[in-house]
Amino acid sequence: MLSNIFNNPTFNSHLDESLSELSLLLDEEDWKAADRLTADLLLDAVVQNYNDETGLSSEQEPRHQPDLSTEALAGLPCQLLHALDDRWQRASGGHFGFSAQLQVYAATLETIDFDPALRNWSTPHPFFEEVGWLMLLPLRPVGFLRFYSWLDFDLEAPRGHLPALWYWRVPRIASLQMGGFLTGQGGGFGDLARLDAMMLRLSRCHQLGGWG
Amino acid sequence: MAQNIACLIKFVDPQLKPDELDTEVHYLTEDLRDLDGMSQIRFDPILEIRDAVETRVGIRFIAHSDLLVSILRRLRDRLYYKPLETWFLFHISDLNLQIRTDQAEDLVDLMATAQSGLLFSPVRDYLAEAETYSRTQGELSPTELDNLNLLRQRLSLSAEQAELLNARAVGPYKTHAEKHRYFDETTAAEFSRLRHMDADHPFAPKDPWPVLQELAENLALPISEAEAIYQKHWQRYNDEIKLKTDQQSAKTAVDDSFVAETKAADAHQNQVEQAREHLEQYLSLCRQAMANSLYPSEFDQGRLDQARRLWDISLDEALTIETAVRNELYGGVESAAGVDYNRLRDLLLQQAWQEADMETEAVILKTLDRDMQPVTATTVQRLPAVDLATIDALWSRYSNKRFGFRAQQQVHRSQQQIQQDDRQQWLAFQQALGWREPSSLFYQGYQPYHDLNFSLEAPLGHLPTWRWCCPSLSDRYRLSLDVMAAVIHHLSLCMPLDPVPTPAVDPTAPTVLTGGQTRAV
Repeated sequence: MLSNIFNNPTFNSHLDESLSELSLLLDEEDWKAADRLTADLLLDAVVQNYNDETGLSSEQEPRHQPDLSTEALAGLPCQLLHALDDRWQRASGGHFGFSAQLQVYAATLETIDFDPALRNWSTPHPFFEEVGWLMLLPLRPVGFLRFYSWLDFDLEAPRGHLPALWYWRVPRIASLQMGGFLTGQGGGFGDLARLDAMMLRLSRCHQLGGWG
Repeated sequence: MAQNIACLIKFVDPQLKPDELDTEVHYLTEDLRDLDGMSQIRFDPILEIRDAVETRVGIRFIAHSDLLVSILRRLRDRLYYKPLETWFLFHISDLNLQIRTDQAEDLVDLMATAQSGLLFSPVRDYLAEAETYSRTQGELSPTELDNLNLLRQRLSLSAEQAELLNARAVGPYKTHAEKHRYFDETTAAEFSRLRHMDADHPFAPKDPWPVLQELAENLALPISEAEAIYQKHWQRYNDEIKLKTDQQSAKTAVDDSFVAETKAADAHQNQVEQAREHLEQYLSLCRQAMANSLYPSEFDQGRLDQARRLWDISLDEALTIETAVRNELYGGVESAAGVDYNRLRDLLLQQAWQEADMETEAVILKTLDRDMQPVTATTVQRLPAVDLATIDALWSRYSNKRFGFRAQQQVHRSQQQIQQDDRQQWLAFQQALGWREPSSLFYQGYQPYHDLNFSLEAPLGHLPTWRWCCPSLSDRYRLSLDVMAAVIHHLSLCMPLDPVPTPAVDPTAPTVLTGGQTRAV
């Protein structure tokens, strides 16, 4: 059973609507709303994947709150990621979008100054710094991410700054674990596993081809 | 018996003028009178009115039959010298012979007959009558015999002579029934000969009727009867021929097609053999060209192209051969899922271990065809054995059996023998592979993927990693126990190890590589 949300017609028509809505928001440069919609669509896909796997129909309420865990991210449909990225890229001239983030991430992997094995929270992954997700003011020790509302929702933001909500939206417990105050990723340390899961997912999808 | 012949010779040539005619008649008369015994004969002129003048156009005379031959010879000679169209008429007893010709040869036949004496003898007359009778019925009826007896007396032939002549007239087959039987037999024989000829000669059979007709005449068998017999045989023969032709045409069709096929097959065989020779030559050329590199150098490629054109090898064939040689020299890239393993082979050949490991993930996820989602404990069993074998063979080949799924299986088996506890077994397995360090209180022992050892110094079975099972790699390369168990189980199904347990491998002391890389040539 191939868990592909694009095989589901009701989901598909709903998705088409949402994607055109996203295009609209992006054209209006309503980056914040677009980011919210993007994260929602990803979560919908996670729910769909979960339902496909457990055999539930999409009408039924999910048993628990879905989240974009590493496993969930690793299973996101490539077509959806592609579609979302395509719209972000077009609206921002390649400035925002998953592809931009992946490019930044791949570039930071090339530089070996960061050693995740050190597990030193105070030395954040260079990716966070590159895309401008780190706290500017040292409210807390170095390496903490911004609160979501503190992000820059305009094209002045660094490349790959958006979409960001997919990363910020974490379960409360995860937020606390990362040192946040139930504010998602905001105010806490960056979760490298989730970041890497998303980037790995993007690069794996890239290998399928057909990615702009 | 002496007999007189009334002869009439008349010039009918339209070329002759009346005075010339007269001269010709005069000379003819002189010529004939010159003959021995002709001096006493009276030559009566035949007169006709030509241009209102009565002209001699010929002569009429009566000569003894003994003179006929010399007369004919003289006439023939005259025609030789001067072929004038002449009308000859000889009246021999009740036989009227008319010849109108300007050719000397036409008289020659008549001469021969005259010489034989048959023309004039009473024997001839009797025989002619007897034969006529015999011919009408095929035998001599009593009335006919009576008539013949009267003729015999008139011709003053002896009874014995008449008997002989009767016998001659009816031929060796006295009665009509005998003749009938004989003709029937002969016709049958003739047709059987035809059949025989047919078997030997493919050309159309000759119609035997003219010969048989002659035979019937000679036999004095009535022609109508002979024809009936002949028709009977002809019908039978035709039916047989038809049947045979039908059978043969069927058989011939088969034979022909068989012959054609054999010929074509022979020609084809030759071509095929030559083509195969060329292909083999090309094959060895390919081996040379690719002995040192996965893909032929530009120079070698040029040589191959030239050879391909020279030996008339199609591009597809050439590519197939090149691929076959490449597989032979560098390991096969078979895939049940249609995945291209060329890049993996290329990377392994270059000893680019990390890239090869990433490519392994790519090919495995493509083989699984599940939207590039990482392999899980349930989806791992969908990986085709062929593809796993190909991947394993490539890794094993280029790492001198250090890497690959078999190496990992061996490590697992050796750990199984050491560790009893299931969980401990998996931890030990990972540790033996170098995928995990001993854990401490605050450290689980997993390291980021990028810190793995991508070199030949890595522990046995260290590569390829099972990163294709991982949702994330960067902070740590870590596999869940159930996924590991599922992968090992699937591997054991796809490529079972030898049942004989290999000696336990000490995971902490990597075996020293024996020799460099082997490469089959």
